Formats: sequence, structure tokens, C-alpha cells
Amino acid sequence: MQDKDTILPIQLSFMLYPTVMATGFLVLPALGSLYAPYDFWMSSILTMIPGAITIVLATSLHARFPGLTIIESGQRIVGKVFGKLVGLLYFFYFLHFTGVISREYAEFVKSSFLFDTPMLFVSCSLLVLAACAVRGGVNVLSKSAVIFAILSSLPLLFLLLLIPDLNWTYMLPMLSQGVVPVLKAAAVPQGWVSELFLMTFFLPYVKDQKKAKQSSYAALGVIGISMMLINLVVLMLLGPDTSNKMYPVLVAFRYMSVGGFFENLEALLLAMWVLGNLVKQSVCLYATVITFSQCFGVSDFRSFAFPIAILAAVFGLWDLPNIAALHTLIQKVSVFETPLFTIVIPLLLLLIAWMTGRRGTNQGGVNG
Amino acid sequence: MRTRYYSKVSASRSPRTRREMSEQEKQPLDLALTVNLERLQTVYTSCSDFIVRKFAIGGQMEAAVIYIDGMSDTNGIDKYVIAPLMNAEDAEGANLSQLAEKRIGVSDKRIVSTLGDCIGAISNGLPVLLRDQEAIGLACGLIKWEQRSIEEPAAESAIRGPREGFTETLRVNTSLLRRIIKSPLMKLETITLGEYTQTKVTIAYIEGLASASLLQEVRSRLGRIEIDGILESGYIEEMIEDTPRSPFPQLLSTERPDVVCASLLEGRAAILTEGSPYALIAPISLFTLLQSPEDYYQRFWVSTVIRWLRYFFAIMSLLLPSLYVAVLTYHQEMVPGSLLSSMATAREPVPFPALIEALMMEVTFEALREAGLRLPKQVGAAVSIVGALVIGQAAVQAGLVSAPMVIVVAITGIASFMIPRYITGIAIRMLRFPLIILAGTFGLLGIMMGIIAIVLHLCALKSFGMPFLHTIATPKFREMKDILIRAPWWALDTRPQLYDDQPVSHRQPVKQATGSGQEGES
Repeated sequence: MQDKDTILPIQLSFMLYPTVMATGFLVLPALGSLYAPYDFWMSSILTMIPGAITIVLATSLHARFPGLTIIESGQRIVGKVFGKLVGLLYFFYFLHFTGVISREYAEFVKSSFLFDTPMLFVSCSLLVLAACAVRGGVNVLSKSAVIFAILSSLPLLFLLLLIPDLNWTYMLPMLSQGVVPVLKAAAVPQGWVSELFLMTFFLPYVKDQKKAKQSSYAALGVIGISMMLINLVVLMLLGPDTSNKMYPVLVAFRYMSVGGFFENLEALLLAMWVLGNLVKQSVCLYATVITFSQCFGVSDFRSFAFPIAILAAVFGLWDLPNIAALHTLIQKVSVFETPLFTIVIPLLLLLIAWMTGRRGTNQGGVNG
Repeated sequence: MRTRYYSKVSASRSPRTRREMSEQEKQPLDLALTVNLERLQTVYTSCSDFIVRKFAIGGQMEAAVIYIDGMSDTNGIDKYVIAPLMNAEDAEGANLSQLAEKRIGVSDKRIVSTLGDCIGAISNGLPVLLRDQEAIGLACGLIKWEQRSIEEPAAESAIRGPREGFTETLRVNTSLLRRIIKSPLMKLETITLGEYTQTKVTIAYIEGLASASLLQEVRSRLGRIEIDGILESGYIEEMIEDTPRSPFPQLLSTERPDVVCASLLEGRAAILTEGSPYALIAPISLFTLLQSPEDYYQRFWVSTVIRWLRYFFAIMSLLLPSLYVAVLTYHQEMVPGSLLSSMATAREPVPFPALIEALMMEVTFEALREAGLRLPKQVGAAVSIVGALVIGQAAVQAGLVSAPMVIVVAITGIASFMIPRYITGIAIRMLRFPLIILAGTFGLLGIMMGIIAIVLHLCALKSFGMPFLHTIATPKFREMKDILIRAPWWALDTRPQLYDDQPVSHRQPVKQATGSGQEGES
């Protein structure tokens, strides 16, 4: 009665949604507002394009090499040595990436709630839980994602309570500076949305590939809509002041008052947001651990979950002395780094595979 | 106490006893009666309830009836076995089975041919008839022992629904099931477990509904049990669970035949144990533990609302004290101003931090609950007076505990009693304590950490291979109608798909009989 590791298509969407949104919705409005103070809400629509590209890349790579992740198919496409080299690059990228999101999480918690708790403790506590989820394998990961994704997106509905306080004139004048600022504002979020590429690690476990594709597009659509909702609410509430706030959504939640009774709901936001962040961190950690095990040909990835989680926490602290450095990294480096790994390299791999005509067999070693 | 007669006992396979005896048991019976009796005497040395009644068939052939006093019907033995045989004139030359056919007026007769069979029959209350010059014996189904009559289930009461509960006698329990599900497709497989107790355990299922792999798994897990004795189905439960270290029960234990039958009809399997009024049901999900049989007997609107209420309070019983501690200790700004001031006034004389206060009260409450449970009924009232007056009223007046904390503890207690399965309520209440400590140290964040750990554990948990968070964590919209709401019976037209590889099975088209009868549906 050993049941196989499978993911339902709908579980895939529930995993992908927090992977993008968990850290995204806190900082993205502020970063977008830097470039297009009145029009940054439009950038949400633009970011769906790179998101769609990553989905196409991930699914077509998987269609060519069924049952294989990008790390395994990379070794088939460019040969064992170069493939492993690419895998190693991915490993360090994912490791750093996991570290950065855990640092973002720790910064947020530390700056707004637990002022005196050591940063390392905050980031490690969630990473260890994420490692527990990773140890459970895709089964636990996908199941917990459903529950946590639903719970963590509930606060977005609370934003609708702000409707009476919104001032829609902040949206005007539209596109007063042309389209370029909007494009610039879309630069940062596109890095977030391209993280959808992490689905490459879960596609081998989905039975119905067609539905998997559909559900990832659905996830992308919901991501686009919720990003736009958040951007609009923040814009209409704070106006051009948005860029001065570190976490505009948090400010919006502080502003909230329902019937003079429910006030200061930001602790609730934090609580729910932790859940979304756990999904994100566990998905990223899973990608890191799987990349590691497939790169070095280790059959049992589970025993690496905890060491790599701690390593990731350290990567999040290295060379980032303060939150300003972190935001510079997100704003200036991640914008190029993420698309490199989620769009450029997969595209190159796909092109090489297409030109050399390499294909995977139908039988794929799922667990490396 | 009424006495019931049961003349049939299910075919039991030759029982296992201690290993040193097993060799001897395989021996076939001897031709000589004296040898057989001697062997049995040695097996049953110092057993004062072991009785051998020697007599002569037809006044010539030596024979003996062997039974255990108190487990067999002595009247019946006298009347239907010994008397007719003693008076038999045609006994000359007839063998035992021919004699039995003609003379013994007992419906259940079985041939026993080895010493082990003999012992098994005798220990189960079947008197064994042995005759000289014959290497076989005859076990007659004249069992009679004292047993409890069928009563209303004590731990699972319902306003509407059958009031019969299981008893300690396996055969009564299976008959209760058979009375509900008359189809011969309901199968009852019996095995014997326990080196010394030789407890009969029956697996009940409906052929065609229960998946073959589930039954295979149940059989193999039960077959692996090696234990001295089984006094309650709890022994079995712990031995066959997927994750015995989990605080959550992974098998449903119930003393209601209607619950067992409903589960069988959904394709689950039930395990009934001799000597225990609790049947085990597998596989289950978390939501099975939160459902009451009455949900299906009441109007569906009522059931739906009650289900929501139950889910809400189940979460409350887990989280309320820790939320209170977290909000009071770290997130005072979340409390509306007027409420905060009244809470602060109440807490002013209390010398303890909220965490200590909560732990103190919760532990006291658990102690009171346990004390009230174990005490004789007459003393139980005293406990509740002490609990309500001393712990509640006096502690608040003395300024040791704040009144809001008493309210929180009381609501938590009530909330946990709303969970229809007592044991599930306890599991949730136990998890409350680590959460309170986390809340007192890290506030809401700590509670979240605790919740994440619990949910991750639940996601990894399985009950006989079925995910414990079935239908929620692996979304199946077809089955939500029996989880999120309780859909009316005509809409519950599919059985739950317990395993992914199982095809969706439709119940017979359930149609609603229209009130006016004009539609002509029936």
C-alpha cells in the first residue's frame, strides 16, 4: 500500500501561487512605484508575459524529456560534464535564492514584529520547518501547499475592506510619462513571476501534463490578478507616497479598521503570510535539494534537506549587511539573475536539444 | 443481566498457544479414551474449572464429555448429549458421527481430530465428546456464558438514530451488523490473536465495495501481531496504525453498529474484537473524526450548520488559549481599545504572566476532567462543585487568575467536547499545550510555527495508505459535498473515493421521493 508520489494539477497551482506571491506582494508595490508612481499597477499585466514564457519553456522541456527535471535533461542535452556544470550553477543559484527569500522573511519579521530576536533564529525556524516538508517529499509538499496557500491568501480579501478609503484620482494622470516607466516598473516583478519555472521540478510527478499546463496558466492568471489588486489598493490608498514605504501592504493593513472594532490587523497579515512563505521556502528548498542530489547523483535527497536548509540560511546572511543591501540586490541583481536561470538557460538548452534532435525516453528516473 | 444462548461459534482456525505446547497439540487423538483424557488432564493441570464427565454410551461403550465449567451449557449437555447417548440401544457398531446424527440434538457439531482442536474447542466453551476406540471427538455448540445485554452506547449518544451499542460478545456484535446489512456480500473473516487470550478478531467488509488492496493490508497487518493478550481493540489499534507515534488516531473506534455499517457501505473495513464493544474502522481521514453519525440522520441544513460550528470549535479548542496568550503578551494593539481596558482591569491583580496563568488553568482543567471521569458517580458531583466554585469563582476573587482566562479555558473545554469523538478531542487538547508555550515565547509567529508543524504532520499522516487530509489537501470537488457541507442524501450519489487507483463508484441512483407524488418518481 505504498502510494506513489503524485501531484494533482490543482495542487501544482496551489504550490506555484505562493511561490510567487509570498514575498512578492509585500515589496513589489514599493519597488514598482519607484519607477512609475501613478502607473505601476499596469506593470502587473506586463509581467504575465515572462511568466507565460517560463511556463512554455518548462512544459516544452518536460514534453521533450518526460519525467526529467531540467537538471537531468540538461545532462542529456549538453553531455554529462557540461550538464553537471549547469546543474552546479543552478544549485548555487537556488541556494542563494532560498537564502535571499528567507532573509527577506526574517527582515520583515524582525523589522515589524520580533524586534530583538536574532535574525538567524527567525530565518532558521522557518527553514527548518520547510526542510521537514521537503523531507516528506512532493506528497507532503503538495498537500501542505493547498492548505497554506488558501490560508495565506485570505488577507488579500481583507484588502477589499479598504474600498471606502480609496481615492481613485491617484490613478490619474494615466501614462503621463509614456510607457517606458511602466516597463521599468515591470522589471522587478518579472523576476518574481519567472520563478514559476520552479514547476520543472514538479512536472514529472503530475500525471496529466495537459492539465498541468492549464493549471500553471491558471496560477499565473490568479497571480496577475492579485498583483494588480494589491497594486491598485496600495496606489489608491497611498498614492505617490507608496515608494517611501518599505512594506506598503503592511501600512494598508495598519490603516484598516472594521466597524471600529477590528483594528491593526497587521499581526494577522504576518501570521497568514508566514504560511505562504513556508510554501515558497519549501518549494525553493526542494528545488535546491533536488538539484544537488541530481547533480551529484545521490539517490536519497531526504538526508540533505536539513544541511542545505541551514546552508541557505547562511547564504541569506552573507554579504547582505542590512536591508538596504538586500533591496539593492533585489532591485539591481535579481532582475537579471532570475531571468538568466529561468528563461535564458532553459531556452538555450531547449534550442540545443531541438537542433541536435535529442529527446528523452518515456521512462524517466523520477528520483534521480 | 440477561443470559443469552448462542449455539454457533464461527469456524476458528486451530489456535496458537505457547510454542512449547504446539508440538504436542499437532498430535492426532489416540484411539484409547484413557490416553486422550490423560493428555488433556496434563494440559489442564491445576485448572479447577476443567470438568470431565465419563459415561457409557448405551451402557457399554465408554465415553466422556469434557468442558469448562461456566462456559458451557450443562443443562444442554445433560439433556441433549449425555441422556440420549446413555439411552441409545443401537450404539453397537455405530461410529461417533453416525451416533451424533441420530442421537445428539445439537445444531452445531464439529469433528475435532487433534489435541489442539480439542483444546481450542474446550477453551471456547464447546463441550467435546470423546469415545473409546475412536480417534476423533465431537465438539457440540453448547456455549453459554454470562454477558451484558445490548444497551445504548455510553460514549456516543445521539438524539436521533438507533440506540443499540456493541457489547463485549463478538457474536452479538456481528449479529447487530448482519441485522442492518443483510446482503451476503457483507463478509466476516475471523482470525485469532493473542498467545494466551486467543481473542477472536473479525474483519468485516462488503465485497465489491472495499478495495482488495485495503483488505490485503488489513489482513497482513493483523497477521503480523504477536502479543500475549488482547483485552481491548485499543491494543490492535496501536499495533496496526500507520504512524503509532502520532497524537491523532488513525483508526475510528466506535461502539455504534450504524456507524460501522455506514463505513462498510462507503467501502471501508471494520475490525471487531471479542471482549471489546469498540469496533475499529479503517481507513479514515481527519474529517471522519469530526463527523457525527447524527449528521446523516438530521435535516441536511441543520447538519451542515452544525458541521461548520464543529469545525470552528475544533480549531478554537486548539488555538483559543494560545491566541489569548499571544495577543495579551505581544499583540495588545490587535485588541480594540475598550476591550483591552476591561481586560487590563481584570488582569491587574493577577501576579502571573499570561503564559503561566494559561498553563495553570489548562492543566487544572485537564485534571478536573480526568478526575470527574474516573471517580464514582456520587463523588463526581463533588468534583464539579470543587471545579466550578474553587477553581473558577474563588481563584478569580483571590486574584490568582483573571476572569477572562477562566472564560477562555471554559470555552476551550466546551469546544473540545463538541468533537464527536472523545479521543480526538483529547488529541487536540494535548497539542494545545506546546502551542500555548510557543505563543508565550514568540507570539503569533510561534503559533504559526506550531500550526505549520501540525499541518505538515497531518499531511504526512496516512490511514491505511489513505491520506489523512483526504479531499482537502488532495482536492476532490466531488467529495467536498460531504466535507464542507452535508449534502442531502439524493445528492450524495457517489461513494467516497478512498484510494486514487479506485474507480469512482456510484451509489444506486438515489432519488428524492417528491412530496406531492406527481412526478411519479419512486
